Amino acid sequence: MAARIAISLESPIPLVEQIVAGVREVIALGEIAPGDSLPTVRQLAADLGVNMNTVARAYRALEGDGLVQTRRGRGTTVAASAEAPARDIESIRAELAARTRDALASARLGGLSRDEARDLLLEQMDLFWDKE
Amino acid sequence: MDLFRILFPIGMIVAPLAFCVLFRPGLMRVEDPAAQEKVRRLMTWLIVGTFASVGAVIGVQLVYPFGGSFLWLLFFPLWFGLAMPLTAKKYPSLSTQGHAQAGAPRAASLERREPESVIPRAAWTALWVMWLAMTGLVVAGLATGASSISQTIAMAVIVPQPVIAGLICILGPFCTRLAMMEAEPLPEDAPEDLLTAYERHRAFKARFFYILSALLVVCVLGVAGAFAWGLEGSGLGIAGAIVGSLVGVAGGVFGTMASTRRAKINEQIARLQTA
Repeated sequence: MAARIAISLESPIPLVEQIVAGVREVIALGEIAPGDSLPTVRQLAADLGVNMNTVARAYRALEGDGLVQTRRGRGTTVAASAEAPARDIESIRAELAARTRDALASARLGGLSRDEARDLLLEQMDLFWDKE
Repeated sequence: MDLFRILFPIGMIVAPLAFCVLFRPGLMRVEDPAAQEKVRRLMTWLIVGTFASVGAVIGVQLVYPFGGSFLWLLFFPLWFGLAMPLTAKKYPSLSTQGHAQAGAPRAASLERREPESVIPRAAWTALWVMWLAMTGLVVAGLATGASSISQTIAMAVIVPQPVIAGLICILGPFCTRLAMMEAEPLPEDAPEDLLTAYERHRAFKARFFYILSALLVVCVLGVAGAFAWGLEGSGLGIAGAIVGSLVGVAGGVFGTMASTRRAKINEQIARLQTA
């Protein structure tokens, strides 16, 4: 099955960030491999029904993260280094902790119990790592 | 010939109404009562407009012989002003792109759609080879002096044809590439058969552009070749008109088929979203 991304126009998260997160996720899940082509900006914008600038900004952000590369005539492809960490492991740990803390704060304020939050976290982790 | 001058404009004028009456695409009709009322109103205007236009053609032809044949141009207001809006209103899925309604997630495939996956580069190269061969025949015909037409007419009628055919060869791949860029939105949990439907639709469009380009190149260079080899005035004019019209009609039929196929995909998406 072809890799897909999903966005929501109603989400408080900006569209650019949703697209970046979607592409990052499919790369992390191995659904697209280094060297694989991404759709053109025009194609993805048409399919998602968003402005081309939105997709172009998302691709630039992904390029800045070292996940994709754009070459004249070849379009945008997944970078060879996409599967290797582009930053040092400590900064990745710090970012994960900050983002998780933020998400857990929202969950707590939203009324989720500890067990529900843990189950959801584990469910998401199972997408990226083998179950222990 | 006089009969043709009457029948051609009448045929063109009646075509929009005939299309609206005979077009049965198997799509869902509009359910909104206000829109249904609008469809009825447009149909009434189309019937009135068609009969009035046919009356005008016959009237003008009776007063000014040859004058009525130019009234075939009334086809355009009847088609673009009434028949097309009527059809789009009657079958709403023809005029949507299938994107999710506000609030529902929108998904998209991350697979790049390559035109070469349907029409390989070699096929376009073959079209250029055909262009080269037929243009060579045209030039050879001109060099032998087989044609009795003057050099001025030869320059005006024959020389532009290879240029036009060359433009068609250039525009064909461009149009195919554009067709690949048509929006293919997906609901969040799109089934595999929806992707297959998109793939088939894409292949249909690409093949349509290729076949149409090839037909046009043959027709355009065929006309030039007939003139260059002195075959004018031997009934080829009528044959050219018939073949040209058939190519035009085929383009219209394939275009309508492509729109209908796409509208069916839109309806499938709408059903998935409401399920």
